[in-house]
Amino acid sequence: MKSSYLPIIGIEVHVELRTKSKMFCSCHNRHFGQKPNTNVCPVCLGLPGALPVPNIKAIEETIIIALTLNCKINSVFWFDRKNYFYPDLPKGYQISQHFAPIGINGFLPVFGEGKSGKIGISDVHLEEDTGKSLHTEETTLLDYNRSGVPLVEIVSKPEIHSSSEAKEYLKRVQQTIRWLGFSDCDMEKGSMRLEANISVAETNQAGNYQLPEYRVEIKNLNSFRFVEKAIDYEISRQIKILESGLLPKQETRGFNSQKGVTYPQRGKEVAKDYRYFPEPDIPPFKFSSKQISKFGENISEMPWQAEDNLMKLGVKGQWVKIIARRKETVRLFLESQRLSSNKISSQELAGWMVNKKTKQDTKPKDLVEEILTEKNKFSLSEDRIAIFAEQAISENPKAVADYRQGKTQVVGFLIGQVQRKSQGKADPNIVTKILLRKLKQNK
Amino acid sequence: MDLWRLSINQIKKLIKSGQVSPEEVYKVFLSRIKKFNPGLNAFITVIEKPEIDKTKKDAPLFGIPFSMKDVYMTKGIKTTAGSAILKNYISQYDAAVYRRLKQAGAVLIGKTNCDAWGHGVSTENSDLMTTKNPWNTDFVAGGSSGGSGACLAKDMAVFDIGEDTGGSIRLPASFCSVVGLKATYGLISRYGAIAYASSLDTVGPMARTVEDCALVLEAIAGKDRLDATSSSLPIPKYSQQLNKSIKGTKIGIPKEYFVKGLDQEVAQKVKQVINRFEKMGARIIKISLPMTKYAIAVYYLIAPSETSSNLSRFDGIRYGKGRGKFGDEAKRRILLGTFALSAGYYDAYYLKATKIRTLIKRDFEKAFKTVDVIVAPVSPTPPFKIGEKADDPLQMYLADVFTVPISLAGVPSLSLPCGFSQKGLPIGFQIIGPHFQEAKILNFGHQYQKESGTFREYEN
Repeated sequence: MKSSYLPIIGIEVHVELRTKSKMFCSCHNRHFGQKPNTNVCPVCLGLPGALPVPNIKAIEETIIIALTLNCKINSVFWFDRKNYFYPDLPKGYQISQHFAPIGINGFLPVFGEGKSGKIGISDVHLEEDTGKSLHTEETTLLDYNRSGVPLVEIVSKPEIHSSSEAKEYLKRVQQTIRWLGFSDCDMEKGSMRLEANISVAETNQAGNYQLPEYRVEIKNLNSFRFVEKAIDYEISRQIKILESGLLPKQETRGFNSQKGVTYPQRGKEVAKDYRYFPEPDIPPFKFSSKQISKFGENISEMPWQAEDNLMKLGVKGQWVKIIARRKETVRLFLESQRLSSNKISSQELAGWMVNKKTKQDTKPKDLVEEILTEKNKFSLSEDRIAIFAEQAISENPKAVADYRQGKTQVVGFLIGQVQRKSQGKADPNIVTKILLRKLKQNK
Repeated sequence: MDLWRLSINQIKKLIKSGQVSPEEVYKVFLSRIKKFNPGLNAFITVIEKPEIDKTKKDAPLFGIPFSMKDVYMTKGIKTTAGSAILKNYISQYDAAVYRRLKQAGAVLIGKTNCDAWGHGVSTENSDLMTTKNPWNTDFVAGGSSGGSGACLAKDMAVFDIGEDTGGSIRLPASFCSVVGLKATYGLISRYGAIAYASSLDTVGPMARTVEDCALVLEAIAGKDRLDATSSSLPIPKYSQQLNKSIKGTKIGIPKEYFVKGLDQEVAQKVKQVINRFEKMGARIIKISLPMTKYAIAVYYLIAPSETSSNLSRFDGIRYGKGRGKFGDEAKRRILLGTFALSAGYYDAYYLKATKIRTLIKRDFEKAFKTVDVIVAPVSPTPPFKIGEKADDPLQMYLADVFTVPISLAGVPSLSLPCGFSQKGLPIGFQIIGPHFQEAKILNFGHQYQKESGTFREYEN
């Protein structure tokens, strides 16, 4: 080996937004598990004469995603047509963004196993999803339910240099978008999809390198683990070729998850020419810097910062991750905690929210009241319960005798007696514990 | 009295007073179609049984039979765009303009022939048939909305909805001696109109008089939430602004439209129009639109580029017929546009064309700072013979030389008749206005027709 090798990796992440309606029509934005071709209209079927009308909510959400990923928002942005043929692309072009995407030039901090630092993001743009092709042995079936679903594409710069770094980056992206609540980023359902562009550069002694002349694109990676595996496989495959003095072929490859190998995808490789041009059916968008900074107001904190904060406040274990999944939940937690003025511990509050699956739109005041009511319900101290238990035992000698003869079910009767005395303010678990102890003692 | 000669308001009056039923009106026009269409090929589809919505008795166009260029979606009825690919295609939904007209009580009587996908100036590019000029059947009716022009020339409907991308309403109006309005881009919803070139396509009324045109425009103009490019400006009552005096107004005459290559007879007729306007009290001002000479080149880059993309959905998977079924002209424009958008050529062709388009628009904006309207010929020549230019696409393209600059600028233009050549073929002129000033050009047009008439067969 005459020099050392540096993997150069760029990642494209597609995320489906879960807005109410599709990107360019008023069809309901759901496709997973629906009967084929039931959620379609002239627009998303690409029928002659139909026109796209942009979903403003999807545009706003993409602006917020881009801002969260530290992007600059183009003051004027528009949609472009990406022309290509595919059976599940009903218009023969996809409405996407090419010349002026919503967000450009951002970054995401990455820590963990991979190298810590920033991964650059070249652009964040909005487009429409395609339909789905279902290949059976005899034929190919087309389902257009997914056609027109809003899809945000986040394109990283080629600044990732290992599979673990790639995984860290992807985890961060997923966490960030879930945090904002715009998508569930579920790779099994296809609401988050990944493509990796991989090449290997030769570095000189000073560690400098030039971007390689080729690039291998790996499509349809549907788990973080597969991304790691595919990248590792690809890096060693490419190094082998480079060491033999050749240049790996520029191509698109698939990943066989069972064998853990990448393989060339069928069809000849022709230079892609999408003949992009501005979408004439949709006028450009202009946002003032004032409007844009308003979109940024709600994103002062990132999910990993929220996690740190929660841990400092005494929340432990899995509950941190669950509370910090959505920024609304974190806000609810923090405000409730403030309102409870130490009557509820952080751990108690977190446990309550997780176990009772508290809805994120719950009012903090209501949540605090709910917890305090429940707490006050069993406000009786163990000492007081012990006194009531003693009384119940001495007042019911028959029951005690029955118990000693093995009729253990009479404990229920004694618990009821204690509860009556305590007016329901005793925790039934504690009552049982004390009663059993006393019954055994008094033997 | 012949009912078919009557205007919208006259027919409305007869229906309202109960002197005639909408069914009877329909029958009169249907019998005109039966009589004249076989010799002219104006219609692709004729609707034998009218759908008259009696709940629309008080609607503005109740019982008025109309036709539409066969590019508008009409649920359950065929829409072919004059193409072999969609020869048997049944519309799955209603175009916005059709919905509005039904809402206004108008009754669809048929759908008219056009050059396939709107690509042409003579209907000779229709994959289905060639429409003949009612004034002399050896000649073309103009295009692409040629069926619409022929239909109105022979009074086979009261009005028609054409579609104009580079001249497709104005040219057939001029060749058939009827009125056609190319509206401001964005005034009328394009939803449900099969797209030719999306940044240029405009829906517009064609009629026998300017007044009828204004009445139809009132019913179809205005914001539509299904067309993102449609304007939210309020829509005036165009028909109530027709009678303003044009005394003291300024009419611009662009020198670039009166050049070598303009037929002498056309030049003479348009000069008579200018003289007439002058007598009516308008001031005639010579102006210049210097970018005019680039318009054809720019148009034939932008329009084919967009059409190459718009037509890619007809890929043989869902519409039954493969791409080999495209006619020669469609193939020519698909190739031209695909080339102009290709990597390495985009900047030199498509992008440059869009920049010049902006300059052309500025020409007009500048001119309208000094004049109210612009008057110009529509076509450099009277109608030509069927087959005369069929083998020369470039000659064909030049028929649009005076109409495409207006399309590129997006401003409105009203094409109306102003006489006949010595051979008896119609000659028209256009009144061009600033963006969204349809009321103004309709006012000028109506005033002209009050003085000079409508140049119909039965007039005089």
